[in-house]
Amino acid sequence: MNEFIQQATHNLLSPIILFFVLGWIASVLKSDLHLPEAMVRGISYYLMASIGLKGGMELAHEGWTASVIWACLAAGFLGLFLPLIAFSLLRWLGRLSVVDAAAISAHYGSVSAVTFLAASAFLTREGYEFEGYTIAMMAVMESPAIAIGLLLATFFDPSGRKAEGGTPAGEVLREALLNGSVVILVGALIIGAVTGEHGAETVGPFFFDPFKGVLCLFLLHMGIEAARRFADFRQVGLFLTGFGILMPLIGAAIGLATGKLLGMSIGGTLLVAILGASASYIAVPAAMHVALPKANPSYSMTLALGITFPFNVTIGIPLYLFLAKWIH
Amino acid sequence: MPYDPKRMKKVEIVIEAVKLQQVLKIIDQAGASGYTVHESVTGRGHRGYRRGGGVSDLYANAMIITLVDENAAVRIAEEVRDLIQDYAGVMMISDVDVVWPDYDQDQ
Repeated sequence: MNEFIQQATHNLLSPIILFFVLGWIASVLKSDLHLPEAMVRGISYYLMASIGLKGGMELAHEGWTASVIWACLAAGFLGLFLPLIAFSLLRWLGRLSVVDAAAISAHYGSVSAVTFLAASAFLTREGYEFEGYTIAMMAVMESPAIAIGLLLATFFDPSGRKAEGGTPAGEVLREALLNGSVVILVGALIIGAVTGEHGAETVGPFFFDPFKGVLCLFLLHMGIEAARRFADFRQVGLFLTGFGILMPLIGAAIGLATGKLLGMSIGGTLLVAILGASASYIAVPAAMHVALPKANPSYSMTLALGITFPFNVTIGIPLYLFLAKWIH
Repeated sequence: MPYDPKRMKKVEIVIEAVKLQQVLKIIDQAGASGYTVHESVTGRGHRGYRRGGGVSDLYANAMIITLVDENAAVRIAEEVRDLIQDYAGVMMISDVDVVWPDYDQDQ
């Protein structure tokens, strides 16, 4: 228990989290501090390219073993299964409309890459190893949830989607799969796998050394955006706010069990818990907004960015690590 | 050359960035010969302040300007009106005098 408190304190006092808090405070105080739109986009591509390359190089090193294939299949299963739990809770406990429940579920089945990056930085700092293929698992989990969200909406409210003249499902899926962040993550993963460790030597000084500093800048921006979204929490109500904390705990529990079943290390198990616990706010919001125009997009964004993300990066990461050690 | 402007309709549309491509398609199908797009516009409307894109494209906006004849303007207006039921946006149509080379004569 002492160790948990110690690691939780380490996490809270890391530059990454402190920059997040700085952004939050600046936003609350209505400072004019903000990163330009183009820079945010550029930084997020840099981070995706960096983590993708890293994962690809580890894959080249470890090889495409059976455990990598199983891990990717398990990730696909998580992406399909978690939205079903979220949908059931939202629909039958929260009495939300079908489109709202389906849209929010899709966010929770997908992943937050920045939470994953913060967790992997935390692991490195605390001296834990983790499997490189967790990054491939993250890439697998980006999109299936969008398909499930669409299916749930169509299945439980077939008239709703048609009457709205929603964008055809095929087009939504195509756009989700070809979202810039997803393309650069998967592309860098392949480039890393092809070039292997030799590639790391040539691009490492650009892609790996400044990584944590750039991540701090991104977290600064996340703090600003999260505070703005959090300000809307009165609009989402008590039930949804509670859901924003409960759902990551459920997702983390399923992720921990998955990591354990896959026979992964403590660090790897924590990262799978993060994949289960986190909710997307990059690729999914725009995709679901186009697919389900009648769903209220501020519900999903307030939950994913204003509640679940801050919870996961501050309390979630050390808590899931504590649990990962406990089950090992 | 004498000053000889052409009377046309200027259609200005501000719309969520996620719907930009669909609006451009509507404009093309209405027979417009071209358009101008401003990306990264921000502003306040019925759905509150839309600051533009950040990590997600959800709050990004775009503005499109096109010059068309009256029939095309009506056609665009009808289709875009349906779109801004569900998405943030506004549309303005005005009479303008357009000065541009007479491309028809070149052919």
